[in-house]
Order: sequence, then structure tokens, then C-alpha cells
Amino acid sequence: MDIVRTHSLVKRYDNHTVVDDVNLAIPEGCVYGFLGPNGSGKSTTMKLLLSLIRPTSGEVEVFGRPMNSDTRRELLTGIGSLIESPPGYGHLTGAENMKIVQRYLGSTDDQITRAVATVRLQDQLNKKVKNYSLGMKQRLGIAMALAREPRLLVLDEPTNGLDPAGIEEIRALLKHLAEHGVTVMVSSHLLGEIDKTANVLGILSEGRLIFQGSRDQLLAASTPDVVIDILGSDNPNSTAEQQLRDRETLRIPSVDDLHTAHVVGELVASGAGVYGVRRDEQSLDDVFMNLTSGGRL
Amino acid sequence: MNVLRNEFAKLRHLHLVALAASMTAGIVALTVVGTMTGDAAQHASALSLAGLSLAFPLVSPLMIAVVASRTIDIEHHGNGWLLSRATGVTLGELLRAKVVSAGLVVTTATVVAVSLGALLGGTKPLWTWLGYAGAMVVVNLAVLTLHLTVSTLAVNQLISLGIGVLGTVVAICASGFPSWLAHLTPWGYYALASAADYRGDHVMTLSPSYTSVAGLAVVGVALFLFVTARLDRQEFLA
Repeated sequence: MDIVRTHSLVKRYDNHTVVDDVNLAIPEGCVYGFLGPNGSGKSTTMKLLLSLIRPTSGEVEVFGRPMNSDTRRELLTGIGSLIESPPGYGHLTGAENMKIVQRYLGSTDDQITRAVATVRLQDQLNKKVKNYSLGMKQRLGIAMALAREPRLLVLDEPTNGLDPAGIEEIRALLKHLAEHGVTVMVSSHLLGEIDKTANVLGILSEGRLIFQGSRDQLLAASTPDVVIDILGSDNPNSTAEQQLRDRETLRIPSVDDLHTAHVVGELVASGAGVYGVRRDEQSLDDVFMNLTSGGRL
Repeated sequence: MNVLRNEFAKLRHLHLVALAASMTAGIVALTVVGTMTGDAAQHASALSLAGLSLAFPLVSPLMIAVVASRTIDIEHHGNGWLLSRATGVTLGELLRAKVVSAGLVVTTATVVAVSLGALLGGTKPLWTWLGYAGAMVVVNLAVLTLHLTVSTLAVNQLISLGIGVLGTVVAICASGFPSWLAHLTPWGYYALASAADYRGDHVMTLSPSYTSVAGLAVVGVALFLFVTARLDRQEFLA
């Protein structure tokens, strides 16, 4: 079952379309990696999911119910979120901040204790938040999001500004939450930050969802360049040494297997010394970069 | 109710009580100076009321601007608007709660200042003192509400503080304004609510313009409810 679905979601400011016909499907219990370059519309989409902003057209469905001004208050009780920078009143301690969240949400003391323990912040709660490091602020923000023990957790670039150890800690936390049945939607502009954690990936580029599926599906869906190695000279009198010295490599993008066979056949028919045909090896990072720079698969 | 309790909790460590106390102290100090300028034996009550009527417009507008700015700035800096919005609390709801919490601080400071003034000058005529205290509470709350709204809408708190400085100038000069002009800004009502004034060398008690103050209360509440209802429906833009 999908815990979040969007139907042709569009958000437009004046003439600028920020989110363009996005159809998200987030399965329950997964870690959904929401990827895209800066400015691609990730935060706006997340705000639409939380009903912080209204869609220009389209619909958001959360827990099988439409999210709108009538249902948002009730549906939000099942959603924890951390959007943009982590919240926290600097003049108050971590404990006082958590108390404020507890009152907003009507959470129990046990829920607050568990949320704080999950992000391992219990020893820092008596410090004022203005004295927290960025990592501690992020953890406090996540604790606030966890305070209602949500079914769905929406985290907007939670690793922003964190050092590698902090990033690893967030990854471990996301895995831990998913193992405990929480559906996590986490955004990032860096694939490497979340591809090891996410079971499902959604890639946004210029407001459009250009891919949605598993890591393997992403690799399969992208078509790597075909690379053809050809001996250098078509002069029948040239020596083998000359031919090897002048060899060339042809790179052909976006061709399927049938078209590749056709190209190779034509080369051979024209007398070219084809000695190698292969697909270029691509890392997931390459695929992501190609997708987001081109804006399509 | 929990939203309101949270607003009181957020006031901790903000030093608002110290700010309110300094506002009271400033008003009372100026009033004491005022009572020394006339025949305190015969006109103690009128001198004290005149001192207060001069001190409130001098001290209140800027101090209230600072109180409002501190109350709102924590939301801008702590991403508090988004936090409350994500928990289902609207912007308008939060602002209404802030008017109540900060309003209680300002009301207390106002009542204490007028009470100390009454102690200095004697409480007769009692109704004048009660009426003046009520009028000052209404005017100060109107100014506070305006500043809280401006501080919410304009992230840069210098704008609200600048308006506070401008308000002080208007409040001081308003006693020289024609009545219609004094009615146009909330600071003009400090002059309209004056309970005593000097005519030449003589101090005399006046009847504060209760109708004008009541009008300010009605218009202020209506405008505030209109603005916060719009904020309730507003998208999150930050």
C-alpha cells in the first residue's frame, strides 16, 4: 500500500512552474530517497505533502485520504517533519523545546523520552539550543519530528552541513526508523548520501519527476552509451601495426540493442575493422548526473 | 489552550519581565519628577496624573516595540512558524496567543505604573484613576498588537523598532495635534486619554476621551481579527 500518493501535482508561482505534474507513490515502510539538484522543487513538493502550501492543481493523498485544509490537522498527527533548517528556540534548552513540541502535539512523556533517546540527545537536553552544534540542532529537529511517533517522517535534506560522521549517523537513524515500521521520505541533492539507505528513489528535475523506482530499476532504465572500437585505417595496404596505432573509438548515446547491431553491421559492411563493442559502464552517480542535467531519462 | 501555555513558556529567558519593569520604572520616575514641579500639597493627584500622561507617551511606544520584537524574533530565528504550522497550529492562532501572553506582561506593567502614580498622588478621584488606568491599558495593548503584527510580517525587526521610535515622536507631539489627527494613529490616543494637563502654570484634571479609546479598542480588535483570519489561510512562504 502507498502511504503517500500525489496525482498530477502542480505548483506555480506567477508564471514559474516549480512542481510540474508530479505523481509520487511512496510505499509504506520504505525509505524513499527524494533526489534532485538544488532548486528542482523538492522542498516545495514536501511542503505540498504537508499542506504548508496549496497546490495550483492536482491532489495529495496521505494514509489513503486527501490532504486539504479540512483534513490537514488530523492527518498531520501521523506525520513528523523537518523542513528547511531545523527548528529550535535558541534561548530555551533542548528540554524546554521538547516540552513545547509535547504541548503542541499532546505527546506523552514516554514518547518524548523515546524520541530524544532515538537521536541520542538525552545528555545534551539541559543546554540552551543556541549553544548546540549544527549536528545537535539537526538531531533535536528530528527528535521533534519523532515526538508524535509518526507513521510517516518527512525530512528535507537532514544531512545538510553535517560532517561525514554526522551523515553516517543520520543514515543509521533512517535505517533504524524504517526497521521499526516508520515510512521515511528523505530528500537530498547528493545521491551518495542516501542511495545506500533508500529502498525507493524518486528523482526530480526542474519540477518534474523523471524517475521513480528502485536503485536497480534506475540503473536498468538508463541507457549507457555504446562504445565501438575500430581499427584506424581502411587502406587495405596498411600494416597491422599502423591500423592498431590509428585505432578510434566511437561513442553513440541513447541507442538500444537492435540499433547497436544495425550500426555495427553497417560499419563492418563498409570495411571498418570493428574489434570491440560494449556499453559504457555507469555508476549510479553518473546516471543521476546524466538524468538531472538532461532533465529526462 | 496549549498554544497559549507554550507562548508563556517561550517567554522564559527573554527578559521581558525586566523590560516591563524598566518601562514601569521609567514612567514612575518621570511622574515623580512631574510631581515636583507644582504645588504637591494641593494638587498631588492632578500632578501625578499629569506626570503619568506625559510619561506614558514618552516611555511606552519604544518599550512596547522592544517587547513585541523580542516576542516575535524568536519565531523568525527558531523556524518556529514552520514548527507550529507543521503541528497544525496556524500563523494567526500563534499571533493571537502572542497578543495574550505579551499583552499580559504589558498590562501588568501599565497597571503597576498607574498604581504607583496613584500612590504618589492619592487615589481621589478614584474613578478618574480607574478610567485612566483602563484607557492606558487599551492604548498600550493597541500599540503592542500593531507591533506584534508588523514584527510578524517583516522579518527585519529594525522596521518594527523604527516604527516604535516614530510612534514615540507622534505620541509626544499628539497633545498639540487637532483631535481628528490624533485619532488617526494609535499613538495619538495617549494624548486623547490624558487625565490631566497644564494650562499655563496650573495643572488641571481632564476627562480622558473614553469614547475615542473605546473606538480604538473596537477598531483594533476588528482589524486584528481580520488580519489573523487572513494569516490563518495564508500559505507558508518563508
